[in-house]
Amino acid sequence: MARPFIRGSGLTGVLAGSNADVAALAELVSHLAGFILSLESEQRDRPDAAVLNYVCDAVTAEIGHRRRERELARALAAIEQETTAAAIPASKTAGIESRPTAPPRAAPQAPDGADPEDVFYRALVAERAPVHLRCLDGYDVPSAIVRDVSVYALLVETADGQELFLKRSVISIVRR
Amino acid sequence: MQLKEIVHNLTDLIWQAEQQTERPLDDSILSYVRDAVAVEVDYRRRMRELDRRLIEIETVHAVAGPA
Repeated sequence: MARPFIRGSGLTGVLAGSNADVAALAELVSHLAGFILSLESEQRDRPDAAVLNYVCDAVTAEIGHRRRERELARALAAIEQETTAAAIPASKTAGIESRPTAPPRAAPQAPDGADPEDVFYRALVAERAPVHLRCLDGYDVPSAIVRDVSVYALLVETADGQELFLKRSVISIVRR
Repeated sequence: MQLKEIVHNLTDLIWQAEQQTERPLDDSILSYVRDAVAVEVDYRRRMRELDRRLIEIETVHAVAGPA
């Protein structure tokens, strides 16, 4: 039986798809028409409108359902991407933190580059701390306070008054 | 082919076309299907009616016999 409407229609423009889609749609139209006519022959009524309304409503509902599912799938994929992106830096940080760390070094007594001798003298001057001072020649001062320091000498206050010591003559200075 | 199967196949066809073109096609395709089925049904009805009339003509002709 000829199907002039189907063969002469612009289905390709409607579908913008392949010839297979057009053929499949034409076949569906044919089946639907046959179904309507078979109902009509059994019931002696014209079920065109009822059948076509049912088909359109059912297809619309199914397509809407699939679109919602697709949107949900995309949303889920986006959530998974965000979760993965957030988890990678966290795991990297965790990896760094889990590594054994070196024991903290003892705080240096002198700042980097400073002369430890100079730092030691300055502290004695600032604190006016009593010291035991010994010299190379055996001269011994059991209790003294370092008042000032220069490049080559120390100004020390003893029980007998102030004394100037050459740094190179001093063998040791011990806090009391 | 049952009506549910037709619906299922039509949905698949629309869905595939939408995936290819990335634009909604349900309205245009369903509108086409509605029009195409209506035309096809009318055409088949007319053909069926013509077939009946042809049978009647042939029956009358057979009963009357050749003139």
